[in-house]
Amino acid sequence: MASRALARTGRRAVDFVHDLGRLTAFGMSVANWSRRRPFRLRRLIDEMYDIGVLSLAVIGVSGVAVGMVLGLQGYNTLVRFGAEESLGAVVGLSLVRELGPVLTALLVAGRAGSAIAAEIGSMVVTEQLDGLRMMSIHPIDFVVAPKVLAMIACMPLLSSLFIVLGLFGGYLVGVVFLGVDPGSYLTGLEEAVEFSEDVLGSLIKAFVFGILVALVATYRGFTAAPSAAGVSAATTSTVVVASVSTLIVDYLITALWGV
Amino acid sequence: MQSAARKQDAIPSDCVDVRDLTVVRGSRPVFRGLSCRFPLGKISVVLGGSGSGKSTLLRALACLLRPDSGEIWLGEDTQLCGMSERRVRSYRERVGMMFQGGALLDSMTVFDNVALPLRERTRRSRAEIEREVHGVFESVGLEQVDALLPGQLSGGMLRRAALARALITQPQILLCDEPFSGLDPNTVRRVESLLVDLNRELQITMIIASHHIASTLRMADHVVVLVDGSAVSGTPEAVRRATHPRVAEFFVEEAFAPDAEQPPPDASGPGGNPA
Amino acid sequence: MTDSPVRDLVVGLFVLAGFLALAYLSVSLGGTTYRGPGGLEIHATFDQIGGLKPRSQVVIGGVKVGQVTGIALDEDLRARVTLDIDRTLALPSDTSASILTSGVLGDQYVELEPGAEEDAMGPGDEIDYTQSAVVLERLIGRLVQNLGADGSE
Repeated sequence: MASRALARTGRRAVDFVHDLGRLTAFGMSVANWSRRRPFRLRRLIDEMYDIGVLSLAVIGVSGVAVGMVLGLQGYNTLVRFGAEESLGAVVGLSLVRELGPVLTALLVAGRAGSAIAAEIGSMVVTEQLDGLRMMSIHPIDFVVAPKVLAMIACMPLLSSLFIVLGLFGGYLVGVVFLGVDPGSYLTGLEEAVEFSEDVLGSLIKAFVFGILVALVATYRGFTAAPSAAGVSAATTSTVVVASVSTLIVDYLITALWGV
Repeated sequence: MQSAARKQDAIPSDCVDVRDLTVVRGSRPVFRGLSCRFPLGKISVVLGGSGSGKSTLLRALACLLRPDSGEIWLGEDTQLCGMSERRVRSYRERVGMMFQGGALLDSMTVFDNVALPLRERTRRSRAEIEREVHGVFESVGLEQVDALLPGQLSGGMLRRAALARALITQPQILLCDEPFSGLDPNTVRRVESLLVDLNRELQITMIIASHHIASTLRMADHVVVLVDGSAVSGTPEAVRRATHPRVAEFFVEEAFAPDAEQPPPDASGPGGNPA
Repeated sequence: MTDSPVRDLVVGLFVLAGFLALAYLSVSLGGTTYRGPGGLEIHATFDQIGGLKPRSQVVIGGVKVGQVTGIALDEDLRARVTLDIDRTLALPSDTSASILTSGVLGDQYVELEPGAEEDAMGPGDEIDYTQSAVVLERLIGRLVQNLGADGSE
């Protein structure tokens, strides 16, 4: 019993390393194809619509909601120390450094990442990718690369929108509802947030998460088993793997670069 | 009629020669040591029940999968198995494939789907492309589908659109995976005569995977029956009179209903080959 | 592949909105831009700067006129602070600088108090009259000591 469990664990570990190797090779291939001509602007714009524009609603609502919660929680804590004028700094730093890029990545993984995995997976099932191969069009070139590029382009933009809307949410609760002085909210915000450390770090995070979510989603779809069950497994594992690895990578970036 | 390997024969120049092909999926061999030939310029039909490896054979012919062993010769100088990426590309210039479900990209209109190979691989102008696409549409009998998405087409139209995309590059060899499955009898007839006309007019070599007995007997010049991982081939008449019990079993249904356009025998049907 | 102008427009608007948000974050919050006019660099040496940091404000009578750009130790091991100040200001050469705190626990800033001399300060000039930061802990420490001394009397 124990030996069987051990064997299974070992096999899982080997599978994981295999998968990681294949994902890396896949990523290299995507990078390689992204550099080649012709640049598929048309495909890129279409994908940015699917990934960016269609995620706007969920990003907007979540951004405002998270900002409001931060405003409320921050106020309740700060007011005990009589430091409620620091609310802007608390809301701003949490959003810019962590919550903006991380929550955006999680939401985009759930909204667009799963859609990408399902779309590519169903293209595997219906032999659309083989159809492309028969026309000597590489599926990574035509299908995967535009999605990855669009995701990388959209993630920092979505994250910035999330942060700005979050700041607005915090302002709404802190200033409008709870009566913090608007001047001190904005001044605290402006003084606490630094460009080179906070905003740039936030952008780097969003950028890295964009690559991560895009690669996981396209890879899972691309390697989906050609069946309905295979597609649904690819979709689920995209959300799980992309979310968990986003959180792990977030810690690594924070620890290594002090962002 | 031949049924086994011809190992040391000279490579024939008038057919696609499959030699000792072995494909293993997981731990189960789809076929082991399969040998058969497909005459050039003729219509060959690969018959077999579900799971007999028809599609696998077609995919090997299209270089979409690498067989575990064996060779596929196209004339003396082209061996398809294990070709380099570059040679696969140039081989595919000459081959068209019509997939079972059409395999058109469902985010693009039918016109864009069919025009795609020309846009990607040639430097033709917009007007030229449009003219060629409409020419192909006409030859497969499609009208006013330019702006439709593949999902908006009926089954028969989808097959025609898939055929149009396979033909747009003027291939010498056309591989068709189950072109008749899921179609009503009239549509089967129409697609069938379309394929026959194309073969007669353009001398396109056709290799069709099918389990539709009636249409096979009507249109095929050459039949390859896949049973138990090996091939029995010959003219339709010869194969029909075959003594191989599994092959004979395959034609039983057809004997009962000589001209009926029945739904194709699947795993549960009397002529099927349960996996 | 299919051209759709509406979709293009929407994507364009999305990108625009994203860049506006980004610009707001980096410009307005990140403070990469507005530093006031600046251009006049002068120095001041203090015994104690407390919690003064680069980018701390420099004010005259509560009005922001510049910011701290550099903090270093000079050869006498005193804190030498570089200030970047609006160059349109004609600061008298006997202007004094003090480090103050906004509120009890707030940020520290440099307050300049213009003197009465005719000459104006030029780039690289040194402020001669400075008053160091008040460090709260020391103040409290001294207070406690004094109280103790009073009590023993």
